[in-house]
Amino acid sequence: MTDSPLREPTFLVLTALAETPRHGYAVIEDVLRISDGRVRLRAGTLYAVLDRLRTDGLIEVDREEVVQSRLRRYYRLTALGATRLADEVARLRRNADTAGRRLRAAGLLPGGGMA
Amino acid sequence: MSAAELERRYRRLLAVHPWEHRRTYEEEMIAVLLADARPGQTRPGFRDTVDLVGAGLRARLRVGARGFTEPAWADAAAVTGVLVALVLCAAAGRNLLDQLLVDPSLPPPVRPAGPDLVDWLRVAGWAAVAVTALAGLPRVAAALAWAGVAGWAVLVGPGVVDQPTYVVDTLPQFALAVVAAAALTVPAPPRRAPAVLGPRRLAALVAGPVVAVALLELNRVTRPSFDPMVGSMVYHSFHGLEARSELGIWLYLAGFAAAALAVLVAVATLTAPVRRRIAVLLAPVAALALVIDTALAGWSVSTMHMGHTIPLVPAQWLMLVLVPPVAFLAGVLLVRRREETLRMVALGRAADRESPAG
Repeated sequence: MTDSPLREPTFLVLTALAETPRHGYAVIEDVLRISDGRVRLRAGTLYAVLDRLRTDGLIEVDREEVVQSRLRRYYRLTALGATRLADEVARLRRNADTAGRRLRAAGLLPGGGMA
Repeated sequence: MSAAELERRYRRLLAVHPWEHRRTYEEEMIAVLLADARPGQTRPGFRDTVDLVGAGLRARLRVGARGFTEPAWADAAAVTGVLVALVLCAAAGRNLLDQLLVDPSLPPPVRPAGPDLVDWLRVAGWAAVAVTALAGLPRVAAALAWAGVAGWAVLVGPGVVDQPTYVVDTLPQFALAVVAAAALTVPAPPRRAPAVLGPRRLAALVAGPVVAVALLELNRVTRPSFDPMVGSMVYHSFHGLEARSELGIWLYLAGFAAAALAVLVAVATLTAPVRRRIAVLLAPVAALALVIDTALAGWSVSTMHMGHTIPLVPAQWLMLVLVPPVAFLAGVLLVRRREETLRMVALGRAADRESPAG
């Protein structure tokens, strides 16, 4: 698997699926929520991301339902997907920690508050 | 009512996606798009439209590009890159030998001036392309080949205005150079060409062009010279080949046939998917040569006999520019259709075997 950084939509979709298996529209709603309303995925982008994640084995189909004669496919994270997301989290955390430390050391971080 | 209208419009937008994508996701995407629609909405929103078309086009590009990363393309490109580099090296070698081996009986005004630096560079350059490609340095080989392409563009390109015949004459070689450079740029495992070819086919690919050039030069050097003291003498001539006897001509032709056959057999005995793709990679050059020999033959003859050059009209230039890529794309589509048909036939056979009729 490549170790290149995940793009934000990909990262957020994996994060949405890390909680529970979700169908497409639920992923869009969850991504909107966890990004504080900043990232609103559209169907074209979402399914491009889902397709790539499936091809790479990071997610898989959990189950299919038909609701009001519409197909709902639920996706879940695979073990590989969980590892990849955890690696990305560690990478982002390392970068964020380093940046925070340096800003604090340089006295550029008002209040010294790091989440 | 309005939902049905909206759905129909979304489906039309989804058609931008490749069918593999639609087959898997169309129903889901429609569900998502309709769930996201405002009550009473009948037309796709602007952002959704942009997003769907953009994602669809990107998916099409990806599917198209993925086709070229399959091993058969990489193998065909690796072999084609080496083969074309060898042919161009031989052509450059012939040009060099033409100027080095000069009939001493020729009076000075008719004698060629002798090779210049560019003539030497062409031979050395294409030899280096072939050697580096075979030695597992595909990037060096590709860079050298692109340098050759750029060299033609710089040295011959300006002749478009005042020497169109020269430009058109060298166009097939330029097209070959582009094919070699592009083929060697296709990512392939190192030393792929020798691995695909094996030592015997590789030897045939090297020997074919070398033998052909050796025969041409041999014929030129041993050409019966016209001696005014002797007067008329009998000699046979065939498409530029000259010999004292008809048998001599036949021997030369047999030699050329053997050289061509060696190369053809070497390529034809590769696996079918690789062989097909090599043909597709060479199709642009063949199509270009065909166009120059047929559609431009009249122009070529008239411009030679007019005393001044007849410029090509824009439509003719356009034809020269468009024919190679169109030939390539047509070849790609043909290969795709052919292999899809073969796959379907194989699937059908397998299904037949599993469930015998009755």
